[in-house]
Amino acid sequence: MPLDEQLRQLAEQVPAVPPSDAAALFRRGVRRRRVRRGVSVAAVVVALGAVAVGVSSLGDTPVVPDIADLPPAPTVPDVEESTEVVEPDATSGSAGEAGTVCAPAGCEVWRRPLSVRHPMLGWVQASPVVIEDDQLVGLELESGAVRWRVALGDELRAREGGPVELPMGGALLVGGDERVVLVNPHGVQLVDQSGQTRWTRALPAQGAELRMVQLTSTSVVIVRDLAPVLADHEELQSGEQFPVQSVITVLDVRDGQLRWSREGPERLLPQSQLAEHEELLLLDDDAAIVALDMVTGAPQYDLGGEPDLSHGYANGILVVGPPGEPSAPTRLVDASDGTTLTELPGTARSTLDIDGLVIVLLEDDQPNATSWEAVAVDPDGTLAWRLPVEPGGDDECCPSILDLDGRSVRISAGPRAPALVIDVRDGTVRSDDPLATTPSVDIVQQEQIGRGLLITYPDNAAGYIVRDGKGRSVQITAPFSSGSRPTQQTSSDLVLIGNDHELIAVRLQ
Amino acid sequence: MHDQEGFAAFYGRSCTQVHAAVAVTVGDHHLAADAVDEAFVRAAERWGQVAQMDRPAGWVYRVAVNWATSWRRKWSRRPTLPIAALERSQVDDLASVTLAEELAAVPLVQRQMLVLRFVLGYSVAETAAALGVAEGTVKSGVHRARQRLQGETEVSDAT
Repeated sequence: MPLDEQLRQLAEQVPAVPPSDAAALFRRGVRRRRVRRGVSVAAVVVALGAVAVGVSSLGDTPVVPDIADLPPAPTVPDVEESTEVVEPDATSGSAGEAGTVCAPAGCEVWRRPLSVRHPMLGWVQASPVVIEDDQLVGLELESGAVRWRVALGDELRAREGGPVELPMGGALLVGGDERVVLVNPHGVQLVDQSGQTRWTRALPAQGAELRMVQLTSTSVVIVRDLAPVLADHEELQSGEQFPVQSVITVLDVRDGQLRWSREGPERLLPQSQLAEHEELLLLDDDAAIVALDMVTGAPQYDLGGEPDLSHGYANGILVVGPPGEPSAPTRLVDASDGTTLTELPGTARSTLDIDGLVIVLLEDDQPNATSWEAVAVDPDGTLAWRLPVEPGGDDECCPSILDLDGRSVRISAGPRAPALVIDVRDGTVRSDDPLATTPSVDIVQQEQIGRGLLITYPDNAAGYIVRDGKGRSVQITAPFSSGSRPTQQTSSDLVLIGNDHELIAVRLQ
Repeated sequence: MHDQEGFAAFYGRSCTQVHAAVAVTVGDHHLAADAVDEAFVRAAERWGQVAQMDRPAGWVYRVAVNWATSWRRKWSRRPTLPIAALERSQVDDLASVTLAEELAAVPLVQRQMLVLRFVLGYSVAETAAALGVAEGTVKSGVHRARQRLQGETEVSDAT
């Protein structure tokens, strides 16, 4: 059968979905146009070097402390009663064999099943923290042995006194250098590196689904959904991505006291991102990036034009571009005040902060061909160097900038595309490429998980391949599961992978 | 009201076809449904310009594919299985199952060219205009995609 006929048949086999309400879609578009007109004023002002304050989806909503809705003070439990510090248990992580010979290609060091109910994983310093039997459990990095256990605070329990709703109630476990914070819709618990609960805090009933949590050096930032934003006569339809009104709550990381809480952007989407810059909280929604004062919650500036924070924040620069729009330039924006430092042609596909520079890999879709380019800029937006990059064969998968050693990067448009190894200090191209040999399996995704470390997901769904800038690699056999999102942490030669099922430690040799 | 009626008519005659085209392109009909809704909202937002286009469905298709791939880059660490693999129980034509899986290996731009040409029935010039590329790029892209798919088919047949 001819290919065109086969394609038509394939299209006919696509399961039909109920059509949306065209009138509702049209009203949403009209509403966006009104918002866009509002923020376009801000965009012009920003382009002129000024700061636009609070003109888009945040509007002039005042900062609304909701202390009255909160319990009077965070709870600081008796550490002796709540924390069990245990002797290292060599049997806690299976296959934890001391002196295991890993040559020539690395080996699995230990593996620990994760609770089916709580497949969450956090980190404090370089040690993993998991949830088991309604306890937070800190593990030894090298052996997987249990270091400490701490009971979950009552503040995290449902108001009616029911069982802890994890993860069914939607919870997030986020780690930092010295502490890990567990948040669910009911409360917050902060535990330090020794397993001591520093404070717990009940959250006000306002806000239902937990959306994002950020643990900064000074604050715990919690974003929760309120309700979809519907225009008159709009009806919520299954599967439709309505913008969601959100509420942002910021607590002091030292004692859990409320700093501020306010209703946030009305157009939060699943892909919205959160970032921190000095004393600013940056949040993108479907219409704008908004910057709020971390201490007071007051709006500082916002960037309109449907910017996209997915390529994020690096070295004081926001790398933003409108998603889904062909041929729009990427803007490099000073995160301090929202002024545009420079514009670069194409769409940012990867960004890296290294050696005081911001490296951006750009894909530029020209009428006759798609070109790729790596650009390095100083924090003030000054161009340091730019180099053409050969295009990849598959533009869906895996353009990457890999930090090899803090001074050089490996840049490629895809796993099969020729790579450039560049000394970032002067933009000179090196001849050696420690990752020149790519795995023989087809790669569906790859990403950097630490300095010089790359994790690869082959399409056989059988596991992961970890490679490093010294040319070493190790393959991990572990099942993928629908919806799982592996997390990783590395320390020297030890690499940890966590997915829905288990935590796996492998050593590169 | 006139604009809304025009938009509703456009949506009514093109949403199913665009959804199928996006689903074939991105290999996930649920993601395609979200992407097409988003693209139609963007079309409504710019209806004054979109309504003037020769092939507004092509614009919606491209925005939807871009939105879907952007969303997937952010949130999916693994691509969704091709439609046919997900819907095997609903698909009787095994040749199409194979085609859907092989299509997933074709570069996105070439996949878009194939879908615009053979699913939406666009001419080479219309395909080039919809994708913002030269006509020669469309011809060579379709040729390479055909070669790749035929090569895969031959391998599949041989095994």
